[in-house]
Amino acid sequence: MENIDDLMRQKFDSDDPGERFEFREEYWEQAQALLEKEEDKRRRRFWLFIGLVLAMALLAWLLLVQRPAGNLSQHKVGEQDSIFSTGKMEHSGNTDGKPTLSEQTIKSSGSKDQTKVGTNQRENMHVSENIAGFRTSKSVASTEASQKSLEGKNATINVGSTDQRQKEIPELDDQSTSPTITIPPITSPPITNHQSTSPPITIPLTIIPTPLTPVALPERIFQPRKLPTVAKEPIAAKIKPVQDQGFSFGLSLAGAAYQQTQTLGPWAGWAVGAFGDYRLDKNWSLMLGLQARFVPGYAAPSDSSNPNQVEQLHYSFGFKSEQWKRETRGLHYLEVPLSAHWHKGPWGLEGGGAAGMLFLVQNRTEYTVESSLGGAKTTVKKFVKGDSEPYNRNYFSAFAGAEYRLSRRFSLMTRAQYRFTPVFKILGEGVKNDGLGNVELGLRVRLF
Amino acid sequence: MNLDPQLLQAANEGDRKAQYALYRSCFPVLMAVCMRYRRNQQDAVSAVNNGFLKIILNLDRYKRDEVPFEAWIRRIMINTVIDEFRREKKWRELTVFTEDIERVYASEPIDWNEADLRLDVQHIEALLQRLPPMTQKVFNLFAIDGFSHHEISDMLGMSEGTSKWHVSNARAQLQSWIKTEMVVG
Repeated sequence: MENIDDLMRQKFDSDDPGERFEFREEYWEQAQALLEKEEDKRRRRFWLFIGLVLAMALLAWLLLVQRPAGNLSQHKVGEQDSIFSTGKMEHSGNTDGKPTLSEQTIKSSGSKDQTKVGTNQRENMHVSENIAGFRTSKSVASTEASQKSLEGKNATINVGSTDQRQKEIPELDDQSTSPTITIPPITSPPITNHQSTSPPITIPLTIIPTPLTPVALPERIFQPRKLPTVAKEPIAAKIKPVQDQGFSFGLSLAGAAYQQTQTLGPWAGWAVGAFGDYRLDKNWSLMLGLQARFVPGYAAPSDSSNPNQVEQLHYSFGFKSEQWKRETRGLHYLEVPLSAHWHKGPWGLEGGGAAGMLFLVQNRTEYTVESSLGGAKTTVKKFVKGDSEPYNRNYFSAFAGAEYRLSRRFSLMTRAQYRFTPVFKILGEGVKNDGLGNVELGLRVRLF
Repeated sequence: MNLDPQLLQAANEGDRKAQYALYRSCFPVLMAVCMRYRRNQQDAVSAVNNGFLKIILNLDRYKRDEVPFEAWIRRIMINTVIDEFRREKKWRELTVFTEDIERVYASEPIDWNEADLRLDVQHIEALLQRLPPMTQKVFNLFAIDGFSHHEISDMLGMSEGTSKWHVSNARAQLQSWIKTEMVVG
């Protein structure tokens, strides 16, 4: 054996620790407590994760379901003044069976043949209902448009001579399904022609062949849903009352004053974050947020990482003095508040709870050196991460507050919050293990 | 240290009885490590429990074919102790090398064979616990656990030169104390 390293190594290598260290049940109980705590922590993380996923899913559902519903109601309102295509001409007659101008609808399925069909009550031109299979490539898009077109004299309907009526239309394969129009003789009085004794003349409609070119059709024709042409309920009932946007997102910034405690020190903190607000109805909304919170002070009473050391060395040539100081400046938390809001006019009241998690203990070190040779006294301050062990990592708090909307985007808020979980895990002598209260005053900005 | 693989498997799956059996088996080995790095038995037990928690949490990563279980848990225990030390240690530790130590170190050499006969493990542990905390860790890591200065500098966040200085300082201190005790004894 040559040196102390060899001596040490040999001693420990030949050591049988089983003889020296007696096992005690109390050691296992301590270890078991640690294991259970770890399992609890894992369970909590799991449920927190599940909760976050559910919250996100709820938000997504609210966002995705609300938007299409809004679009649908808008669409229903819009349909009231449109005429829809079903592939055949029909009318909903009035009590005497006569189609009126406003009731008549003209349907189109967009075939290659293009025919404008109109009716004119003044001329008592009755469009036969038996024209299934008749196709037109264009429909009258709106009542107003149809009225305008109907005021003309059926510019696209040929009421020709008998010879002309005999002409075959080559594009139509099946004559039995040819569109026909029944008109009274020209000499008949226009109003009473359907009661006239003269037999009606049935003539085929002239189908004007058109090339297979794409026709820019009104978009409404391609609405996927076949909606009723006649409103089942008044339009007014379908129009929702004007209210705020369903979902809004914004940022919040607040200064906080904390309840004084024995270890708090400074009292001023802050909270800054983002929130999503979903309006349930005219008065109620739900708000979910994520914010960073700074709680000042809270030096751990038994924190060995907060040394205040002074070292002064005297040499023959003078002296050198060094001082190290470390103090806890505050605690940073990440917080998820969930709250319900009640609004009336610009005022709002809110109440809810928040779950928080400690993510940083902010310490400050201060190193001061002074030397008889080094000149002036030098101090270096630095922010460092502190030991989070003495603190409770997670907490729950409840809050209530009020909000006043200054404008559509900006609002002032005030809030009183009480944290039920104590800040410290283990307390020093004379330190009470209470919760922590604070009041906040801040600004909310709704971005959209 | 021979452990049934089924015991490890059950402990890994959260069987409390298996964990208890494993704890009983590992306790002496872990305590032997911790007593060298810690100041007293209470601290050592606390460190053992933290180390055992890490062992349980990482049991699924243990590969029997690659490393003996005892070496694996020793390494985890050392890492745990060093992690705790880094977390707890003062942000800067002042060490003053006094002339007094140098004088003793420079005196006549020690008969190591005689020292071997007169000192037992507990005695050496007590000497190690008297070293300054950082010096104690560095000397343990270097002289007993076989880490290089480069590894130690990484683990403890210091330069290799500082690590060497700590080892040298520890040797001087220990030799001084051993010499004194042998003279007294």
